Amino acid sequence: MTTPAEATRVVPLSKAEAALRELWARSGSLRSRLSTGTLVVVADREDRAEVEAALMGLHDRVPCRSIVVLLDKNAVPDGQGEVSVIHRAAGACERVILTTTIERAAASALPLVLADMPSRVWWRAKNAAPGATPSMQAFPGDTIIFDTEATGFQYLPLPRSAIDLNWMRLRPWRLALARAFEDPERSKLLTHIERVVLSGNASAGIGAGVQGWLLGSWLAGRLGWGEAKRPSGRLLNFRAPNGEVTVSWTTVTRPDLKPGRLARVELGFSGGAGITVEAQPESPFLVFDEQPRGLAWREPGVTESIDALLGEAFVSDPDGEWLKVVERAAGWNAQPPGHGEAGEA
Amino acid sequence: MTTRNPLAEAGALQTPEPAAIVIFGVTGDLARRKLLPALYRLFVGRRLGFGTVIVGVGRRDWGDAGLVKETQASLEQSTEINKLDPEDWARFSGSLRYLRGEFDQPDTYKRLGTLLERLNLPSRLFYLSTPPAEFEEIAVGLHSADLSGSGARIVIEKPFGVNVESARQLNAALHAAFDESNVYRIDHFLGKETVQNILALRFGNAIFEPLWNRQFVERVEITVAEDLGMEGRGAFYEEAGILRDMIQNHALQLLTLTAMEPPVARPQGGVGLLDAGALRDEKVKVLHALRRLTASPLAENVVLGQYVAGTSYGLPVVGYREEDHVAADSITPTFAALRVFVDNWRWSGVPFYLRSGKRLPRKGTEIAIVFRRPPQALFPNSSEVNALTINIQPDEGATLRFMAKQPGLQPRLLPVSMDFSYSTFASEAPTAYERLVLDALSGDASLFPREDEVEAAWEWIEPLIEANLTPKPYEAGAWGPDEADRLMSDGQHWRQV
Repeated sequence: MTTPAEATRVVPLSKAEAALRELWARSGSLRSRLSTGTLVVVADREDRAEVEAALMGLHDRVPCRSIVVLLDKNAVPDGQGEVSVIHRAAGACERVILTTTIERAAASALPLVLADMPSRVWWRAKNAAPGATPSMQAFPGDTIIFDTEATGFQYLPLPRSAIDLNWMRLRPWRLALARAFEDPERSKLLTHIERVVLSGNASAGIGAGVQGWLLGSWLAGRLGWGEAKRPSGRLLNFRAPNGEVTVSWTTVTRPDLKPGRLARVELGFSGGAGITVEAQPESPFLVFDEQPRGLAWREPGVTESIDALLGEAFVSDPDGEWLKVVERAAGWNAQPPGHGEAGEA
Repeated sequence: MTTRNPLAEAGALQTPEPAAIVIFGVTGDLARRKLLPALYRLFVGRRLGFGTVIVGVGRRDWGDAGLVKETQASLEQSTEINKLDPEDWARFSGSLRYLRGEFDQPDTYKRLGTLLERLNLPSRLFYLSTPPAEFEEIAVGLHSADLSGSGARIVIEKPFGVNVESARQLNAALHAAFDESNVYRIDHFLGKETVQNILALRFGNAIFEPLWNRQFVERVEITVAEDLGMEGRGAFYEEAGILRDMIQNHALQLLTLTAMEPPVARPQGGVGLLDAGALRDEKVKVLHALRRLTASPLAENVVLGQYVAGTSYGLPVVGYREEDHVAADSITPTFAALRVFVDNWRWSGVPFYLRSGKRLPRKGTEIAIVFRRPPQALFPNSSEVNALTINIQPDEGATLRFMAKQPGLQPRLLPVSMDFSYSTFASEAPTAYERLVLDALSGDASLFPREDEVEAAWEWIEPLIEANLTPKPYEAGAWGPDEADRLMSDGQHWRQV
């Protein structure tokens, strides 16, 4: 539910706090001026509309302040920003948008961050890496939110704790797989996995294959598979307690999915049985299927919208497990031969 | 006990073991309005263990198909279900079984045993959604059929007896079949998010607790106000009255959560965790510290009332004695105001005012911690007091009232309030039944009153019930009889909820 935003005002950044207060007073809102923290968004200037749309997901979930820093290497910083108070279902949220160069970005945003409250940085800039300049180290935020679908593994190691939107996209897959083995009898099968086939939608982008490697790395970590060997760019062999496990990455054509997204996970067990989890066409559900018994059901699946993910990311704790998963996956991804091959169509 | 699954989400709520959830009285109103919607929500949220089966037991000739049909109708009418997803419903309905049987017939339990054996699920939860008179009979039946062992749990709904003796009798009957650790007494009030938030506010912050005592608190006001009348429950209410219906359970629960000492934490991985046993220990200690109502003449600390014809939101409404199934000369109280003292080190001398009633001007439940005035009046109008109000319903949240300088040259103060409202968070809270059923399935008893807690509450309230005080009349739509103000100290008034 959205009510119209207050008129946006362009003010010097030094006056932004006063302008926000005035907008609150003028709005006559009965809502509390309650805030749970600040989200600083660093994005390329041309992506402004996408960023604003995505922020609605955050503002729908939690009352907070967002500071959008639009990067433009040709910008002539004028020390001004657009301030507005936006009334959303979750209460009224505050937003400041400014355009500047990467060198001045951190210093511009810092005075606008809510004092003594948590702050996070959503790094969405394609043309600049977090930590690329010394000024970035001063960027306000204990946690960085980014998306390996857009960046691949190139920003590792990260300068601070992180939340990966791509890892969050995989959560339904992880939950569906966990669900499949909730039955104590069936969970015994986990020690008899012989092969894992991860199928992703074809893509030539930098994030292609990343979802597959992340999920494969997660499975390996959870099930205690060690000593990965890589016979080819699309194949990994692990030593598991009961023998060898082969993990492979294949591409499929799924026009209903975004490029690079995971489409299907197949687990094969010794003796020929298998479990498949597959994204359902044009629907946010995963289909679970067990062979040869033919047990099948649906699980709530992938939410495509970045705004919902961002809203979730803002209130989530950084996932300690993800760092190990991503480091392992990045290591495989970097191994020759076939660098990049895993992700290519 | 929960499933060990190496792929389970770290840090997330663990899914309970697959269970056979047996609902006695599944054809009744409570099961259809609250319990089945809660189970469906848990199912859709993937919170029920894989393969969980719901077995409804009732006297009506429904069969599996009948239960499915009635459940579907209940869910479609439920305000707690947005929309029945066809696939989710198909799977959920596939887990429903119906067993027709009389609760006093051994054959019912024998057939139930056969069914449970065939289902072969690792966990069993017996939910008694029946009139209290049938609790004992069902517990005995389950025990006789050898169904109450192996960690099987039993859930019963309040009221847990109608006095000390009946509560003890009920507990004894339950314990003949189930260990106390497997008995879950549901008071749905404790499943509300905001009731749990009392603990979060008190023990998740360091700033309130130092003030939470006789040195800084002048009084505590607990109000559980209802705007409705009998709504067809006159016969029940004639037996219960406000003291059994609200004070013995809801109001005392709020009091114990407000007054209790911090429970001992159970360290896990360096982080303390709330322990169900320790939490319940502390609540019981408060009940034991309550000054007996008979320590002084009852009239000094109690005012009972009964509504007469008046208005509700501008419309005329009948008085209690004109309600259906209510005696024309009834002296059942529909309002109670009590001044209560917790005689322990922390609260000595601090009055706790409890107030609850029917047909009050509006619905609202809150706890107000009213703080003492500053020791010196440095400003001309500093007579207002600070108050922290925890709003339980309907506008869940908290409000802190304090004094601030009024802008201008005069050194005048004015009261201002800071509000926190849960509505500013858009995420959907679980229903009380959803929370409590999941806790019972998971073996977490934190939010369920223990036997000694129930008995201690009855022991305390019983002299007042037995005194049969004649209630004072109050007009429907008023905040109870005028005499309720008399309980307050000079210059004090009940807060407007």
